Amino acid sequence: MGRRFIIVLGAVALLGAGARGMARPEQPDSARQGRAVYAQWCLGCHARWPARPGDPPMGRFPPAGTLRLQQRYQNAMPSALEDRHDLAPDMVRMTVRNGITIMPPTRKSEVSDAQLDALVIYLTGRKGG
Amino acid sequence: MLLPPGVSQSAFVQALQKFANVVGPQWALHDEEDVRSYRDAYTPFAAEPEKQRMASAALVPANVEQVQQIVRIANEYCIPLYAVSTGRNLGYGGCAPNLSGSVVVDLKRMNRIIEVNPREGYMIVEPGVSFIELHRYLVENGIDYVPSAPGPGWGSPIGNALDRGIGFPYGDNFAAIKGMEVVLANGELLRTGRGAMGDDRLWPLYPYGLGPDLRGLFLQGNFGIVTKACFWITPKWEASCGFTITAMYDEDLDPMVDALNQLANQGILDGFGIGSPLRSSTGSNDGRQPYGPPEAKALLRQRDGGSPAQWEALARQTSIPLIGAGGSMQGARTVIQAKLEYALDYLARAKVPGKVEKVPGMPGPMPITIDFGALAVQGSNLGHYYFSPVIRRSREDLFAVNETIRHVCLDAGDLEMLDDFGFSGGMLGGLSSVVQEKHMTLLMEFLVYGDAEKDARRRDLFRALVKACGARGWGEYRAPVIFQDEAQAQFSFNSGIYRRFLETLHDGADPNGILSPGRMGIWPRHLREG
Repeated sequence: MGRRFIIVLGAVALLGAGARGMARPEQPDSARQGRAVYAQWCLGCHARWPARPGDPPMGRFPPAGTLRLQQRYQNAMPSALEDRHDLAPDMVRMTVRNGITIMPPTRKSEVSDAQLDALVIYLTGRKGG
Repeated sequence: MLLPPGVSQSAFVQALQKFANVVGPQWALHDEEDVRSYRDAYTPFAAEPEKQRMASAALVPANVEQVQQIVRIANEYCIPLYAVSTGRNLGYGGCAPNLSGSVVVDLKRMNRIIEVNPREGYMIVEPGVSFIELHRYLVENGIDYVPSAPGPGWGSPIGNALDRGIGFPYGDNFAAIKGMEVVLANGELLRTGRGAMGDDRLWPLYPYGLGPDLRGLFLQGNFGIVTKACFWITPKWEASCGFTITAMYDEDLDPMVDALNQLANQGILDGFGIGSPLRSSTGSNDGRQPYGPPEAKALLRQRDGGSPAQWEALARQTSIPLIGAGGSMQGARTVIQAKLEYALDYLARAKVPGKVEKVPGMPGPMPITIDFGALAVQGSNLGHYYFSPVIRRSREDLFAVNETIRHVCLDAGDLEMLDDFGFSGGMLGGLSSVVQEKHMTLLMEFLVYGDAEKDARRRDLFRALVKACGARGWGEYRAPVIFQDEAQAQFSFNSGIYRRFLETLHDGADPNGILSPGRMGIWPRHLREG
């Protein structure tokens, strides 16, 4: 099931039943922090495309990461990261720190290890593996 | 372990310990995995990692005092530093240093928005602030001002301005900097303009000191590490609108440019562009979607680029305009409507040939996002870098620079690049909010493929373009790190006096050559003389 939330640039507001469906009840703060990290650092390239009602306004072009993943997956799996339920924590960590093709690395000075842990929990529902 | 050039391992280890004592051990990064983050993510040497520029370590200071201490230690050990703000200068070298082995000074943690003064129209920020963070702050605080961001919003107002970056829709971002605070090579703190009085009330408002204006030394320069900058900011405007004027004969571009120049000189236009839509219709450079006929591509492959008669016939056949120009204005709705009516009336009275069309108005500016969509549509590639020469805003220069580029591509046998570029590529300039501009900047995008042979051929093509365009007075406004020496070499008046004078100043201000050696081709003495 998709999450519906409204993102206003500068604030993250939650509507509906709570954080991303997969977040564990004992880690609500991590998932919320992770969502804030995602909104600041990931959404610009990984937002849904086409956008759904309630999604944030985008720039002049479709989001690069989502578009690239659409080309790669050809509808075999969702192209927006938040719609995936099978992301592996270690893979997320490695991709964030190393980058891949046109996605540049994200440094510790930008997203700290603690923030990355929160992002991983937000996207995968768990910390490791 | 990669060492800074000329520094022994034991000295480097000692220095790293001292650096760690300043910034804290978690912010003195020297593990290989951490230091790898400080590479050019879009390096033109993707397939040849041994040729990539690499840092030896990275330091992430929290405040100005730590930057000063870092610089003093670097001087003690003669360790080259390379300061980056948000470190996202993708397309021009990323956060990798000019000189491999340099220690990167990553200013991202210094991301305070010190003051935003909407009453007088200025802000004071640190280098680690990103456009997105700034936009967020302005929205949260109900301040109706708009950052002047390039495509991606993760860059830094300071970093972008100091690379002479261009923001949308204001244009020349450096022109908006009216005061700076800089850590000099000896660790001392300098403030420019009125800040040099030690009273900061006028620092953001009047850019000059008494005597020479030092701001320019820190622009695309290696004379200091900028730790604060005062920018003039522009209120969010109510709306924008504009017009285009198109025609089917090349010579009609001349009266169009004359008329738009007059309108710009009168302050009627905020944006101004010229081009050849039909000739540009087949290129895909910089994420454009080609829509033109194959005949256009064939004409562009001819050495003469197609005769006027051939292009005029194709324009009639396709109904795609052969030449065109446009102007835009932004501001209060009633004012821009009046400006638009004045402009259209002016064009009519001056009998400027061509079909005039109004461009529908848009409310306010675009939201700031990380806008990398163009990359995703360009197929398989690992990044990009830009060749970006400055040309006159005239039909003559527009056509001449395209001819030069065409000839260089044909002589290199690179039809793929020629087809991709097509005509004119992107064109910046004519964006004027802070300063009126009288030039255009061509943007020619080079993709990185990760194929050693192809990427090497493209790098050679880039260098050939730098030389061919430089010989005709079209120098780059900004150059990727690995081409900065060649780009600087084009400024050859009086045996390169421009570079030689900067070297003279630099040798005095930074005798150990520790600040970003090699930036824009300015090297310290010990690296110039081998």
